[in-house]
Amino acid sequence: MERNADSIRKQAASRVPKRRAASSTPKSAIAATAGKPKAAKKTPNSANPPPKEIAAPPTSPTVPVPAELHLTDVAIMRGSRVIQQGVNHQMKSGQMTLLTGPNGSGKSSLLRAISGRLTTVRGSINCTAPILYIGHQDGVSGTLSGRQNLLSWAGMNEIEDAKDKAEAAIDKMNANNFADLPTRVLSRGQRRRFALARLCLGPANAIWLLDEPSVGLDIDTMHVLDTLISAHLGSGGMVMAATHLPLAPYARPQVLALNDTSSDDSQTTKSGAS
Amino acid sequence: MGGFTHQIRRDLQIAWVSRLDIGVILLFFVIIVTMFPLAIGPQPEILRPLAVPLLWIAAFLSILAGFERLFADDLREGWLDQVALSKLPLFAYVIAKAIAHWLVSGLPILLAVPVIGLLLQIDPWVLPSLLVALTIGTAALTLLGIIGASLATGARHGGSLMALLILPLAVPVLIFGVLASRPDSGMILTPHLKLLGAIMIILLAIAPPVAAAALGEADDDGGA
Repeated sequence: MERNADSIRKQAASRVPKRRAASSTPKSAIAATAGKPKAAKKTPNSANPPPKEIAAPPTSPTVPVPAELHLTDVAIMRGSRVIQQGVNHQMKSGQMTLLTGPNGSGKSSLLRAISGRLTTVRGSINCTAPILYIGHQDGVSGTLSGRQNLLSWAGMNEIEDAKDKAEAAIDKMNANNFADLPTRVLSRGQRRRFALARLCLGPANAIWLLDEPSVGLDIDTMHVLDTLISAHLGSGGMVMAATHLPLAPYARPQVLALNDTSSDDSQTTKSGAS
Repeated sequence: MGGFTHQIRRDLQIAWVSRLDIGVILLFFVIIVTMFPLAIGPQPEILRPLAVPLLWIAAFLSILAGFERLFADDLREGWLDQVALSKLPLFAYVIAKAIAHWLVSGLPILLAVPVIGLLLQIDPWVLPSLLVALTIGTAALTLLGIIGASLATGARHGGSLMALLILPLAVPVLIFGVLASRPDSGMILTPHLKLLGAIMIILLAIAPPVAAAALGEADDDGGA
């Protein structure tokens, strides 16, 4: 899966009609959607019904570290277009959420919004856990080696015993053979492993925000990722991943389905791109 | 503080791997300076009064050349996201970038100045004050540069846009810098140098928060 999902998303986004910020008021939205009753979804805060998009019930046992994520009526914009609104979701320690939806439905943007790298236009995001974000870009310098990248990341986050932990993480990702090469000569999947190696270094109660984590990975490394995820959930962490592929199925993740905003269906329906 | 030194170290590591780039900046500086005697003529009586201003302008232009990619790689590779989520505040990251950038672009130029000065028939007794003033001046320019680079990050033709943003603001630095480099009395600590230092300190207070804010904004549009 070497495709550039981001550019695909941008293309998809450019195809849909522009919906300006002003048109997200109930009146004009109804006009735009030919009289569909969307007003309930548009009212800010409170009056929202409980989120229906959570498919699976919470599964995990109680854990000592209290960490929670609450999304309340979140709306996000890219450029001048509202790409997602009325997103409600809650997570606790030990839970995992899969973000699904067609290209351009705002999965990456939602993850960036939770990580604080994108400002929301409405609603509130309340996260009590430390955030570990792995986005489309790996955050790995092409000039430095994977090992140097991992160590500098550990240094930036003031992680203790960084050297030992980094070596263990490199071992875990089976990246020892190419850990000293500049990452620009590596393949997409090899570079991705150094980004994912950070997951082994972060705090146990962190929430992992993973944007298409398995893109470019081989089967073995996907299994490693699945193992990492279940271990993290078991130790009281949270995971939210945007993905088109099955990820850690035995962790029985909840599914938060984002609809394509170019269609006019409500958020719970899984309509394809129009 | 740990993250701060790690960010500097990371940038120095990157600079060391691509150390050819440092050579290019230095060569650019040398070439600009050598163009002038070729254009003006080798007469010492003409070159000597021009030497200090020429060195300043050449130093400014060479340092400016390196700014364009200051934040661009970090943004493109997603490092900026990681920094934003790390314990290091963005303004500290910006200061670390500035220090690292000065070490790999300003410092080599300072080291080259005594040698290149010979070419311009510079008075040896001017050198100490020139070097002190250039140190402060290049530091001030680096601080201006991080403002420009952070604002231009993500823009098309960021490099030329940045030069347009920075150079007018660099005029006071240039004026006081050149004046401080040629003290009449031979003493180093002139009022001009103090003013130059004051400019740098003001920039030190202004530039990091401005650049940090600009980098936060840049991400909203061009990040993912």
